[in-house]
Amino acid sequence: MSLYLSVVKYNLRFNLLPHIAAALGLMLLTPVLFGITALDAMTVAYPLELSLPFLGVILLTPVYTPEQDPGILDTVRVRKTPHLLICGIRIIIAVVLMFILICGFVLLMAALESEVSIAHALASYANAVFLGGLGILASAISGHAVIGYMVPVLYFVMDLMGSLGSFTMFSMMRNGTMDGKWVLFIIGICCIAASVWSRDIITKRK
Amino acid sequence: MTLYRKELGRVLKSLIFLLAAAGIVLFAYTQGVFPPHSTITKPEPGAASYGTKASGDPALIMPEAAESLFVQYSVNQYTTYPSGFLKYVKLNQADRVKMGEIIAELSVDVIPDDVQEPGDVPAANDGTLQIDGDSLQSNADGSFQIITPEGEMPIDFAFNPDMTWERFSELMAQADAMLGGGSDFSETWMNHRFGQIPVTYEEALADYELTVSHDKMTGAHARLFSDYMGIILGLLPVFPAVFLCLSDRKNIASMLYTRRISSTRFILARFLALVTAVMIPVLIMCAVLTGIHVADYGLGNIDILAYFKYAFFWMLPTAMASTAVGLFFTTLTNTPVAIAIQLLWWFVDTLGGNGVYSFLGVRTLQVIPRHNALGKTQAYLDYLPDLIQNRIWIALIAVLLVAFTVFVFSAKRRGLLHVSVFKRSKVQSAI
Repeated sequence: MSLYLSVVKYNLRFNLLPHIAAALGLMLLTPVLFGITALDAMTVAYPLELSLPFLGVILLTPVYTPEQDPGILDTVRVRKTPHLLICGIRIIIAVVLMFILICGFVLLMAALESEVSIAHALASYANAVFLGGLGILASAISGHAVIGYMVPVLYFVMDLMGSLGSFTMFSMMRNGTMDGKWVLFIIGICCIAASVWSRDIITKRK
Repeated sequence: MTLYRKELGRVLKSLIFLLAAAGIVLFAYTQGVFPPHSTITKPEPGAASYGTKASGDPALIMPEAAESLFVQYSVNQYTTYPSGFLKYVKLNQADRVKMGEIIAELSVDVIPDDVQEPGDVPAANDGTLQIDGDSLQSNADGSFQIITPEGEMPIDFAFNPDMTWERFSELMAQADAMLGGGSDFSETWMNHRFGQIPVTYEEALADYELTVSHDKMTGAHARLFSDYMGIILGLLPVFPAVFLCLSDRKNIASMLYTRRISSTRFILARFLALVTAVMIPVLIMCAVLTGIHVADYGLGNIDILAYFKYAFFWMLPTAMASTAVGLFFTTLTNTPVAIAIQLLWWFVDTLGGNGVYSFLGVRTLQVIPRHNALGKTQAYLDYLPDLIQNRIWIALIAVLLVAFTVFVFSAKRRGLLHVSVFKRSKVQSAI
């Protein structure tokens, strides 16, 4: 247990700090851009679907970044603690942080008299897991976090400017429904799992 | 030139460029501009509608705008776009009273004395006039009526016909300021939002003839293509730029710093290579689209260079700007923060204005000009001087950012600049 706590501590200290700062920056910017006071059930979708899902990209995509330098990966591979265990703990920290931040934001919206419910929080979380899942998978396969940032942003833009049918992230904004959120969430989780698997293959091959 | 070729080769062989190029083409395909989903046809007389246009007529704008303000006042929910994004504003009691005074001046007996005076706050409901959507009814004469519960007196709104345009503009400016700006009642928005009139057959025909004579068909198609390509070129080029700079940090930064080449030459070569690379898929699509239009309209009826003119005049400054943002902020911080900065700029720019700027004009620092229509040539010619000014400004911003990048790169080479974003993390300068 102390090993896990130590991993969490060092991960927070050396890896997560800038990403947490970026996530908090996004959360501070969102009310400025959209306004979160006294919104009705339809308009709460704007900050929840347009802005908060980027928490997934910010927190999940860079999970493998510290070891994407070949020299560092070699060092990590000879360590006793399995590299994938470290990555797994980082992923858990990221998804838990995302959940806390989104729920906290939704609670704040509720306190400011917006018509939000737990369903809105879960829908936003599903979007965040989906975008983050795309990012972490692209980053794991390509070996570069910038590609991991590009893929979810491209998906977001294409969905925003057109519509990706059943796979749209903006069902709340467009139809006022939660349609497809479960699908996005499951795809996001699958992407995260696939990223761990691909990372495992890459680590063993090198 | 050798360095430019080397950098270009490096970009073209990178995975991120291939993905970005695929993204650009896929985006054009999903938006229906590659291949084009529509052709320009002559308007037929007797059609149900030829669209609408802004009249600019105060006699039409004033009643519509006043009624809209009244409706939003009634539910105390105002639609605004202060930073480009939709934002609903609710006024506090003091501002609500002030807004009530504006409404009172705009209307003829807006709220009968025995119901509510501006500033007269009934204690029972805390001074707010609460009306749900079902309680508002539009009358045949254009006025609005609030349907109150049985036995109570309805409250009518009728616009004051003696109101002058000057006084009306002043009142609306006060209302907009109270709402924090960016509301439907700001001067810019009001002219576009209210007082729309139908386009007549003659006007539609004149626009078609202008499209044929001035645009030679392909000009209109190229404008629509540029409209969509601007959206993607305003964002994607930042990724290869960040990728290339961060790759240096990992692999060759220290070697680069010690080479004899000047910082200016190196950064310029890199910038030009990145811009060339992102424009390659666009230019290829331009060539293919020109071929398609030759087949559709005939070689003699089109401007064969139209797509390429628009690529350089309209799209290139946008690509330059997003590339320059990527180069500058990555060179400065050695982090991917440029992606977040460009994404924010893109967001505010693209969603800014809620579409009112689509073929209606262009803001001075709008990185992505919009013209979301096939045709509307006269509208384009009307805002062309602003567009030229805008493109020059955006290109200048890009050049300025590149100059700053040269300065930062040069300072880093000499060990004069160290930007530590997070000292305790691994994300820090390579120096």
